[in-house]
Amino acid sequence: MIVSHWSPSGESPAEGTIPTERAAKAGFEPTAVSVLRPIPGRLSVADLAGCRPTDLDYDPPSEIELAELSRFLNLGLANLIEAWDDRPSGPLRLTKGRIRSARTCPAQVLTELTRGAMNFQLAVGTVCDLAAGVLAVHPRFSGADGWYRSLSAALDQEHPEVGEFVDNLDEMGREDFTHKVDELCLPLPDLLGDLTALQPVTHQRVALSFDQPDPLDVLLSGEVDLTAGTDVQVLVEVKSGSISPRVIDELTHYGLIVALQHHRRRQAAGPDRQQRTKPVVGCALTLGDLAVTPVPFTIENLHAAATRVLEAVDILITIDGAATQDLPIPTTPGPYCRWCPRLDRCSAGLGQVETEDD
Amino acid sequence: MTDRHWHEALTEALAAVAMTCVDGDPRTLKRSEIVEITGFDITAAARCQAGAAAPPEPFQADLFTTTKTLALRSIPGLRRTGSALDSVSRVMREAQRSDDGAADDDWLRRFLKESPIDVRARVAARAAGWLTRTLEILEVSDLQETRAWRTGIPLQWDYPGRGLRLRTKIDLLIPDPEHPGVLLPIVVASSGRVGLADELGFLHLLWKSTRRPVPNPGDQTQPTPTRRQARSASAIDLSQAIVVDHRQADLQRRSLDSLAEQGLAATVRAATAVTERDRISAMAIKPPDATPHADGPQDAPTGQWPHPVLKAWFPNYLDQQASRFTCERCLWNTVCDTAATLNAPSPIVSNNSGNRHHLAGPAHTPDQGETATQSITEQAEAGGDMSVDESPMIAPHWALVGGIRLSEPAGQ
Repeated sequence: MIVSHWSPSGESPAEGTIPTERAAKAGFEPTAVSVLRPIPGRLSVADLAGCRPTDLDYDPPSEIELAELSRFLNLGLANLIEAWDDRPSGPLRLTKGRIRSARTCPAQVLTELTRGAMNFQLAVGTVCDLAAGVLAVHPRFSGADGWYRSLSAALDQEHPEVGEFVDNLDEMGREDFTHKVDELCLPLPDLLGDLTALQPVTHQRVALSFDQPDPLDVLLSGEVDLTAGTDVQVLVEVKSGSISPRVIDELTHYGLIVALQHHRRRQAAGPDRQQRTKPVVGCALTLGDLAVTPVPFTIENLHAAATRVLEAVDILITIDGAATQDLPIPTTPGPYCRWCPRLDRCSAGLGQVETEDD
Repeated sequence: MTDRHWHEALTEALAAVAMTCVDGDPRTLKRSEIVEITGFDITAAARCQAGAAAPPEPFQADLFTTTKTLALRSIPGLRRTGSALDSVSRVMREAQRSDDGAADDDWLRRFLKESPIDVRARVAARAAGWLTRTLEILEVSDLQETRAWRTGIPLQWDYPGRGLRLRTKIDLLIPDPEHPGVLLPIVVASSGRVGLADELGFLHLLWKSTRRPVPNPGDQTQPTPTRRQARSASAIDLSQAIVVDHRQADLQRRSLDSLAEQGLAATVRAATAVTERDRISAMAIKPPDATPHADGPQDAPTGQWPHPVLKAWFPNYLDQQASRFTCERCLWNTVCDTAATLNAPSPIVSNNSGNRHHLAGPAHTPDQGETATQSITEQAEAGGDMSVDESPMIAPHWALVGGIRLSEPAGQ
């Protein structure tokens, strides 16, 4: 009964939405967000990855429900895309980051186009993420010399920008950084458990294309930090912070992609040939609160993720329309403005920060 | 068309390119004298001919280039070890232990021996992940099934009497579940990848052209298949291939017969680009000395240094020269001069916005599957640098937001 710690909290959406006429025409209500609240408990990722489908205390979506979800998403996307004049030839790519940006504030989508500076938190998160990937295949890997130092050769190849960032810190900054990394990575082996016999796959890229009305119009994509499991497939998101609705939303985005991938494969195999696919479960490994939090991919959660996709597409089309007609893009300022990389160019954001400071 | 016809079609189509290559029997020529067209060149030319024509980067073993090779070498051990990770670990342990000099000739073993433990762990994770994912998508529940799998079957075709060679490898062959005794090629790739059809066509064409030596007593250039090739060939069916898409967790059976024509065109395109590349390399043009200046013309390119498109087009050249320039404009001018010298199209082309420029270069093709926004998003997801290539030719048009004004907050 591993996934029984969860219950819907009924919280309101974490971030605002921008309903438009197009959304109504596309057939979805742009508000549904299911936020789940964890009840802390001691659990390792290996515990979850080693469980059997019968251990899951919730009903995974049925084929009929997944077929309905797929139809809902296909139809919504087709309607939105069809009404999009002068669209680009490439696919519209929906990642968790872009969905989050679009739903937070349309102007934040533009931050993708500005050079993003590495910062302390991002660098720490990158090292923790890499540490989890190493421990998944080598549980006895020791960060005895300091985790950052122990991983420096791999970091140089996979994320050289982290090394550059750390090199530019002053001595005290570097000390803070290595201390923070060590503090967060220390409990990682216990939180992960031994995954070596559970088919771990690190940094698995996942994607789902929608071919309506034209091939590859929309592509949902992402990179799962870690997947593992022999009888169930656990999608793990490693975070250096604490559990939050945002983490759940990101995991559910992956859940939507993988659940629909499995559904499509089973459909393609047909009734005569049994397609072997495992039930999929989400798992947030948050080092800030030392929690391993299972996230069930119920049909309600997947439906909420699909709705977020449609909302994001709607907003991106609005941005594109404004960009091509040289019109201003609407903003929805909020507490997040303070950390927006485009703050210095956004009068609305500057106003928001000024108000908060007053 | 029969296999012999494909051999003749290939000979005829590559005649113009072959004339620029060294005259002689490829078996007696030095390797450095032979122009080699590989599967990588075919894919590169399909993505962007400018990319294929750019000076080749020397191969460097790293986390990314070792993944597939290590995974493929681990396949024979799957049955004994019972898991992808254990099999990969075994290959790595053997590499660590080898001190018989074999490692010196084997780039992968050398890399594994010389790498620190964190890099080895990441290599193992990536290779085991590749294998696990492949097994999962192929629905291999019993690893004993991998007994009949074959890896690394080389294919090679030499142009008669000229130093021009086509070569590639079939990474993986597995028994066709629908036709016992027949082996089908597995290609691990995104099913919508630009250049995949060219790559498959090239594979098929090469197979058709080299499967049986063309009976021509006067022509000794056709290599006789090795015993291993001959043994493999008896069961291999390259009229179709299975494309395994790790991202979409999908597999597709693709007919290759219909792709041979496309493979022929792709081969000619890649061969043209590669011979052009060799010509550029041979010219070793020196740029003029540049003086840094602050008040360059208004249309000077802006953004990253060096500009990513320049970097993509002339990577080695830029690396050599970057230290000489402190002003992108100067480098830009130099590249323009170089392009003019090479008789390439003018590298500076204005786009609609009038204030951004890019290299037209030799037929640069935007890659629909890998737009600028894709790459930055993926980098952002990986916690990496979110810098973006601002070149309008590779950004989707909705991302052209340089001039966008932000309005007042909605509702205010």
